[in-house]
Amino acid sequence: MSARSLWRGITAQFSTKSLVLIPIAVGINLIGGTLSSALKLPLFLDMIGTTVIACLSGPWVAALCGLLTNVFLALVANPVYLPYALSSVLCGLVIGYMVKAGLFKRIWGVVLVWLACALVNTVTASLITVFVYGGATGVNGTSVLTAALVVAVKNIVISVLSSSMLENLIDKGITVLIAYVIVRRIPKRFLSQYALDGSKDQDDLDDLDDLDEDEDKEEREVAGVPSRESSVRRGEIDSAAESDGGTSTGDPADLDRGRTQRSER
Amino acid sequence: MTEVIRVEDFSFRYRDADRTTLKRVSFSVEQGSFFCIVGANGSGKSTLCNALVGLIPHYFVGKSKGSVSIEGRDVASSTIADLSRHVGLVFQNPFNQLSYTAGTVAEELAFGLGNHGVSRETMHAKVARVAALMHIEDLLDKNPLELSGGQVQRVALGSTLIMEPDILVLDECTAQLDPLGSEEIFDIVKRLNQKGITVVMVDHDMERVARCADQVMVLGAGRVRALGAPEEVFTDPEVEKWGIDIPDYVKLGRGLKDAGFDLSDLPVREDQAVRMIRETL
Amino acid sequence: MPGPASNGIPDSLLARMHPMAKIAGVCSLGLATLVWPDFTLGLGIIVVLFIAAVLGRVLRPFSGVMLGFGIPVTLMLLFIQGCYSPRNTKVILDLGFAQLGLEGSLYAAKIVVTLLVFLGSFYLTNKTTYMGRLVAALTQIGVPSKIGYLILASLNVVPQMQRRIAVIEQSQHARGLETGGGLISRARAFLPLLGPVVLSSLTDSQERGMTLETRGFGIRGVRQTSYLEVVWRRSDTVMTILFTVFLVLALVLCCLSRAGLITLAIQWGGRA
Repeated sequence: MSARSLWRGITAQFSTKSLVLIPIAVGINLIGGTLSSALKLPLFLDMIGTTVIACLSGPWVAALCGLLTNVFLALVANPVYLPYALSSVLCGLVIGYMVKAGLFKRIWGVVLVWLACALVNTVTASLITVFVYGGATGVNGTSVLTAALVVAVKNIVISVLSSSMLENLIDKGITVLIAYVIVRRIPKRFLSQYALDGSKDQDDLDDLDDLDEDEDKEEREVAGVPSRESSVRRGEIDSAAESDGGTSTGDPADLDRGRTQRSER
Repeated sequence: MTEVIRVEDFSFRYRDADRTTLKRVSFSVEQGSFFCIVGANGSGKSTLCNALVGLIPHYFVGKSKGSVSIEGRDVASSTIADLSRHVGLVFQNPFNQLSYTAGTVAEELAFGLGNHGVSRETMHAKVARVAALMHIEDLLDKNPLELSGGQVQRVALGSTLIMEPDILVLDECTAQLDPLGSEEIFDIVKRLNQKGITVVMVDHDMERVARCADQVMVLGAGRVRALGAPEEVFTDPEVEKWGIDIPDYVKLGRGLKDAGFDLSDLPVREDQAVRMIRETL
Repeated sequence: MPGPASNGIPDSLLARMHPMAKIAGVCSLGLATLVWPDFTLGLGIIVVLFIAAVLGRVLRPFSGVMLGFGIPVTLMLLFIQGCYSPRNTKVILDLGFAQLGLEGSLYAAKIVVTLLVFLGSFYLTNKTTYMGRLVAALTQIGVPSKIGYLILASLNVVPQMQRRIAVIEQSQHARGLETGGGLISRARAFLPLLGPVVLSSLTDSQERGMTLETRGFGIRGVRQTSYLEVVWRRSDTVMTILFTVFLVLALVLCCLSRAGLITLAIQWGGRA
């Protein structure tokens, strides 16, 4: 891929549709913090929004979201968060490219995303903590754990790495899980406006081929007469009904089965 | 009378959608008229509004056929920013029509002008004029996020009008407001229409539609099911099967007719109904 | 984010200063503290910042933030770096289970002081600047409007979302779900309520994007203008020159010190 097409691919991700998601994703990142303090957990949960936006708009938008989260925290809470923007950006990129590769569609892929994210975050955040901050950023869960480890191990770098690894494994695991659940719940109508996974083959399916077809069918539907036609789109529901022994398409159970079949494709 | 909106055989399907949302819609709107669009939920009214301002095809992804032109400009080959100077959109949720970049209502109103590079003096003058029009002069220094829904909707309408469009598209813009807020918006819209601005309004309040509209278009399942003056459309018995709740006056008239009274026309508006009742008594 | 009339920014010398001049100050003071060999310069700058806080009429919140962050981080770093830094050779205090080393403590002090200078100057800038004016100033010097949008929108959208969550939290407290019930039951009560807030925020974004587009957001080739006027005054030029000179002096002195021509660092005592 040439440099120019790569650049164009990156800038294309920053359409208004994606840009307007970013502050909301930052908000979701920060809601994670509220959530963890409400549940009295010593975690951050500050990458839920970044993960969700990675699924919608791609790696570079996710990276920008991570950066902006740290900038926002630096402005509003404490500038101590600013150098950690580097780890947020890297995590955003890693998650984004993994999601783009389709890893979020399978459970084992989700596990991979979790581990990769935990690893990247551990390494970069620890390096920042040690080299910028000398090992601690104040009285918080990680720093206290680091202090305890330092007494035992007598090595600053190893203590920071260990406490960070432990924290990150738990934190990122829950984060990725919550983000996965959220993305599954997003209405399909909204998701398809962002579809990342090469929808070039969708173009044919999108053809306006039903413009004349269901003119009669609709009139009959409205008049309350059941339709005898079965066009492509109703096919799944019909086949679900037939496999059950030919019950009518009006049966709610069949419609549900039809819907599940479609989503598992 | 010149045609300011012309929609020809327009069809649209959102990407990955199960069905086509708009099918072969054709109509035209004349300058200065009050054009109302009615229809059941899901009939494609919002999609049509989005198509009129260029959000389809430039913001929403999907397949389209046919054409939409605004004041002679083809929407598909213009940009949303260009079109915003000719046609403006106000939709239901007031708080989604703020830019979220402004700390005061004045800055919010000026947001669109800033994007177009208008000079500061012109900005201040236009903001003052629009604020007077929308009756929000006392709100200019307030934070838009602290206002009520009705106030924010007036700010949204102001932000649209500050671009000085000749056409206003209103997609159920009073649905989330209380009756007072709703009336305030509607008074402003009526006055604007009297001054010559073309209004295309989607609404559920049939009495209001019957009262104000020059033309009514009924959308059902993505197609145009009826198009004409309110008197024709609302008295057409076919129209009700598309989920339209016709004005009470028509029902009243039908009731009287069924009871044996001889009526020349069925009333759709209050004044017509009053006249009808006087005639029968 | 409040507007000029209703916000909490008291009128003061600092508030009237041009935002870019303040940014120049943050960079200059921060960098100077960073490059200086020990913590003495930073300490002096912190004192100056407190004076500036008085001038900006934000002394009380400023002190709260500085001490609230400064004290815990000093203790933590003195402990971690002071006792266990690999560069410790001289001992200044024997705690029994550990020994507080000189080099480590100095290193910790330097870090704390640098952090406090950045924190303090950032905080002062933030509290005495209306964000709309900051972004207007940035736009004037050519920063893309999309970046300005991201900053301002985050500052507005995020508190709005947090308020929605706070309302949900309060309703949970009212139902007595804070007391009693372990982690699982709290999670089960709380999480299903967050879902709708998150999902509705996401779908809101679609309409907000529509709004931005119809207001001409992101037009190429047009020079953005602002409703707010940000004036560059002579005092701003003076301050910027002072900040630049200060930074340059600090850099020069540090280079000379590294080259061994002058000694800047003070020799502190301590047993070997």
